[in-house]
Amino acid sequence: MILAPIPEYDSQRLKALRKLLILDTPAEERFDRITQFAMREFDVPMALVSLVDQDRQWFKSNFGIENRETPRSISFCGHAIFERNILLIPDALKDERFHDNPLVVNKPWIRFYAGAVLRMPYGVALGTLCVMDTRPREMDPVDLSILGSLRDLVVEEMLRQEASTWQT
Amino acid sequence: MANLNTSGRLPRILLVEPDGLVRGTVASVCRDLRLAEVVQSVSCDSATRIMADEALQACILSLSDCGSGLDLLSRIREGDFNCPVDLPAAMTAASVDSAMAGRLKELRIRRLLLKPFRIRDLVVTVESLLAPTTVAQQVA
Repeated sequence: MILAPIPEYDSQRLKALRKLLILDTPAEERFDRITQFAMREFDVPMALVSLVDQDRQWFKSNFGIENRETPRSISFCGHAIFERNILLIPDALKDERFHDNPLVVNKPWIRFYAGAVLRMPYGVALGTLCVMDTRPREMDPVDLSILGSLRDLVVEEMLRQEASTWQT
Repeated sequence: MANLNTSGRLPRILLVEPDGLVRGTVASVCRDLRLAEVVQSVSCDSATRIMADEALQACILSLSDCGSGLDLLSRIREGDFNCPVDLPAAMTAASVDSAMAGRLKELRIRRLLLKPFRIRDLVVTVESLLAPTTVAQQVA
């Protein structure tokens, strides 16, 4: 397993994340409806809006995963924030970064992962909208485009959150 | 997958769909994949106004919209708008009985999508509506 690396600009990223005042807030319908929509669209048992905090990934919206957070070091999303658009892992058991990851070899038994990066307009990647399955899968360009479009809706909601935070 | 017409523009397709999340996502995916520019409408009533002004290459209407999807399609076939009377059309619906299915066939819809459908189904429908048809397909 390769632990999730830390980007050089992490302090800037964390500053932007904390400024949103979204961490450890209750689940909200505006995020949950997108996550549930993604679950139905891709027919997967797990979907998340995951935000990569200093030492953890915390889920603003989670379906199919019991915990509200996991350590950042073992998170898939910690790797995904290095991507420009989407991190696609068709089969985690065949990927050296994840083949013996605790989230793969234990509950929730992740085999397939697709995470679209939640990147703010000023460049920082705060987390992902991701879908996961317990079996290997592929995604074609249509699937990737749909996931990316749903991700854009999550980013829009985060920008609304940012605007309302600045107003208060 | 780019679907540019001779003027280098994406074809324009009308999508009538009450769910904003579905509508917006289909529009975004079609733009991203360079398939089509989706003209969005929340109801067939507002779509009627769009049909009067826009040059469209296809349409996806909604039968769930108090029957006005059927009325709008009838008017298209009767030549009431600035578009070909044989405009490629698909219909979405919660359910249809055999009488309605017969009526839709008379109105030459190419595809009927029953809810719940996926975004992918709508994107594939957009692609098929804009694809050149053969004589055999038109007869079927």
